[in-house]
Amino acid sequence: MSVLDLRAARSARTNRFAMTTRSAVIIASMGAIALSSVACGDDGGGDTPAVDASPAPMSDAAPPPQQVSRAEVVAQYAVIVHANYQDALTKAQQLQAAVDRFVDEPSAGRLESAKRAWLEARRSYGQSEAYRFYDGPIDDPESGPEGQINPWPLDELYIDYVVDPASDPDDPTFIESGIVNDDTIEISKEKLASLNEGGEGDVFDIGDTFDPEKAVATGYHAIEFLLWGQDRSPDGPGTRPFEDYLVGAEATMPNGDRRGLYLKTVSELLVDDLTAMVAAWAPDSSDNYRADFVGGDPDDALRNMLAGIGILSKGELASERMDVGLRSLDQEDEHSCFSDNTHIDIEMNALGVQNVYLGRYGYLSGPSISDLVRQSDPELDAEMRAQLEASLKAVQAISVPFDQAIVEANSAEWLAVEAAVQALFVQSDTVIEVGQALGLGNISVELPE
Amino acid sequence: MTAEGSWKAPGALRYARLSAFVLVMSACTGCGDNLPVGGVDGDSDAQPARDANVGDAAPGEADGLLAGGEDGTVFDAGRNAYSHPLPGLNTDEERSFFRGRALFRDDWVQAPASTQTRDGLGPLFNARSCVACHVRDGRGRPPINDESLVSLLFRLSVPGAGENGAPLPEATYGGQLQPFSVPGVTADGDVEIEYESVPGSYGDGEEYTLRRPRYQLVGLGYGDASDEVLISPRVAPAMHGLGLLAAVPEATIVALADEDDSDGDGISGRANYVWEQERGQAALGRFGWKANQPSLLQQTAGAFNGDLGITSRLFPSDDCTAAQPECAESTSGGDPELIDGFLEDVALYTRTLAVPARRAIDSTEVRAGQALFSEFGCASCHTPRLQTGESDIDALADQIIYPYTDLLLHDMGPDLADERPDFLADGREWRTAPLWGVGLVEAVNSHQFFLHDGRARGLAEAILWHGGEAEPARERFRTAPAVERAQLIAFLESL
Repeated sequence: MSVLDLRAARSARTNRFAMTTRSAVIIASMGAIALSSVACGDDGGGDTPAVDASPAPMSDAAPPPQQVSRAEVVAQYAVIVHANYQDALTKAQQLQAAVDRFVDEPSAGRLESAKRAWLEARRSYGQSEAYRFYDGPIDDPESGPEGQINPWPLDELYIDYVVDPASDPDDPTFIESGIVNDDTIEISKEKLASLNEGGEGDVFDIGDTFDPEKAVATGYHAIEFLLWGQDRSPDGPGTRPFEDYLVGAEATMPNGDRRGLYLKTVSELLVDDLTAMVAAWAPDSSDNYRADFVGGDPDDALRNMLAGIGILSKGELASERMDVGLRSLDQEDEHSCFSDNTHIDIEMNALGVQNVYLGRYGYLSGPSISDLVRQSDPELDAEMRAQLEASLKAVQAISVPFDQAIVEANSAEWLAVEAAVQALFVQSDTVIEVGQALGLGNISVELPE
Repeated sequence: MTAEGSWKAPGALRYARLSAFVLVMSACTGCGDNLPVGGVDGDSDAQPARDANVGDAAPGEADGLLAGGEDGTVFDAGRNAYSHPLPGLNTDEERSFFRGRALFRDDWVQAPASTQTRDGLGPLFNARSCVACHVRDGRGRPPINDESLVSLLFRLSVPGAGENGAPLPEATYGGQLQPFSVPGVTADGDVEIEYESVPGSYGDGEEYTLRRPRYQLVGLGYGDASDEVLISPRVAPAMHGLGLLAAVPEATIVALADEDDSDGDGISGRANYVWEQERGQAALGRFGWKANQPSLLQQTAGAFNGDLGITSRLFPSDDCTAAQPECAESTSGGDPELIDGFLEDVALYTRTLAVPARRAIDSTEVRAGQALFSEFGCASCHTPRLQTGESDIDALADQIIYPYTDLLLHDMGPDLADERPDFLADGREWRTAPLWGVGLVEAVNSHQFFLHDGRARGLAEAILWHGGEAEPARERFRTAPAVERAQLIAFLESL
């Protein structure tokens, strides 16, 4: 652990202590989140880092003035990015272990364990999306794995069977489609990666050519589909039976063995990709991305940090992940449509934005952009923090499941999503002001991913 | 018809403003070219930064910096240069822009899928997303080596005119070759492209070699196409500034037309009148390589239908012919597949992409090239300056813009001819391509392939292919000294 990490851990303890002085309202809302996190069953394995992905509380009173340098803020960012990816990796490894146990001996209980591990894994990854949108390791034009980790939306029948929409909903028949049901296709990491066309993540691929013969084959949502199955329920997630993974008389569908191998393989691929992200941000290396990031011009790094949270707030989270759904009124126009976990995806994205501004992840915290702004423009810092708080509260106020919240225009649930979209738009504009206040020029919050 | 009269700047105020813009731009340079300045500074009291230079220049020469007008120009010469929203959008428009962009970039999925509003891809298609062809909202290109056919598509027809004057679809394959299909449906087929070398030389003896494409339909899924089939290649055009072109009053465009060349300058220029689906009547065509689309709404719906296989209220059925029954019987993603709200968002997105500002306008070489652009006669069709009229989007209204197009059809000679009529456009006519942003194709799309089929490898080759009405202008370029040719190219690179 570097000196910086130690200091961050110390200041985190201070912060935790400060928690007790927070207003009752926030403690109450945090309590609910903490409970739900516990319910997701994180048993904290041996190599779990001492960081928790559950939302850290937002301070509503200005912390005491602290003189920080730009370089310290950039260094702290590297600390939280690394901790966050390490957390995402650990949770992905736990997911992989749960998947392996399930596939090796399928049962309803083991399927539930794998689903819980998937839900838990989404929390840390969702926060890490605040480190996207500036061609960092996650979406580097040539090597970034984002299009393999988190592509969306899914062509379900490119992967596995789907219900024939022409059949009786109460007694459906199925279309046996996809890679799972095509035994001419070898299932291996290399093959599935080569069959994946990662949507937006591939836009910046070398040569800029999409292959129209490919669709999404890998990543969190492919795993989600393989665990939950299609969500055809008006009020719950998908209900894939564990027997889909059996072979023989008890099997509900053909190719249970190939389905299991597919699930194991894409889980392993996810672990590989997150391992690379941890390595890119690992401390004490002289030739990884982090070394360049903290060793370069701190202003360039700060621009990237702000661009990342500005673009995530506006174009990605508010627009693509929420506003399009408000427009379509389509129940399944949501990110985690199979598991109905979209509300957590959204909340974790919003929390990730806060994390970057506050130099924080879990209980780690240290010199932050907030500190920098407060040194020169305390009012702007207060405004930014208030807006981040407001948008987080707004996304937490969205009713669960998200897919029910978007189906009726102007319903109370729909309006709650609308309010969250507006709050995120407002905060992205303030991110631009923060950049100006720090003398960084005009940060663009509108660029495509 | 000459544009030089309208090319003058409107006086001293203009210069004061221009100076302020230059200050903004240089401030931006300090923060890296991927960080644009969102708005434009219209403060006419700003301290002039370059009085000395302005004094030397003839009025108007430095104009056109704000290619997309005062409300529609962005300062980004990097990879995202074509991808910014108009700086002047209001909140509702901005929300729609971002929704539209998400839909422009996301893949469409095959039906049936859990998501009801995003399924319906195919059964036959060219791509799974808009952005697959319009990469970074930019310009497509022909495939290189073994790449699949993506951002270059082939329109098909047979001689004669079909319904409402539209091209007559080829009986087996329809109006467009779609090389990809959903499972259970056979794809149309592929195209083999061969290039033939065409040697030539400049006036000073310097030699060059152009390449002429030859196309052959191969791997056809439904047997031979008609013997009379007409094939027209079209690369995906860049998306920036389209809403501004849509806002140019029809009267302005029609006034530029000179169908019978009554002014005797060798340039005719005529308007294409095409079928407007929504209103069920003929309308001025503005978009597409042959100006065969009257509006961006229809262009958008047409591309959803033809390229992605997504039906909409404007085009409610897939491009399946009688020879393709399995295509017609394939699972639909809804009736129509594209909800109106999404169509409107994507159409608004295509209307509201800003235009990148010019660069290097003070360079001596660029200024010389700009003068040659008029002198050679390029500006006779590539009209530098237009003014937009009314628009429901304020940022598009009443803008002085520099698109370098008259939006009219011109005879480009036999070498570029596709011999395929498209409404009023005959087989040798093409719409004048807008040149704004042309200097940034390399930065955005990492290639230099120009013209409707991407045959030109660089701007010089594109000019050298010009024929027909453009032949005299081309000859002036071809026979000009090397230094002047370089100046002209430098000017184009500054756009």
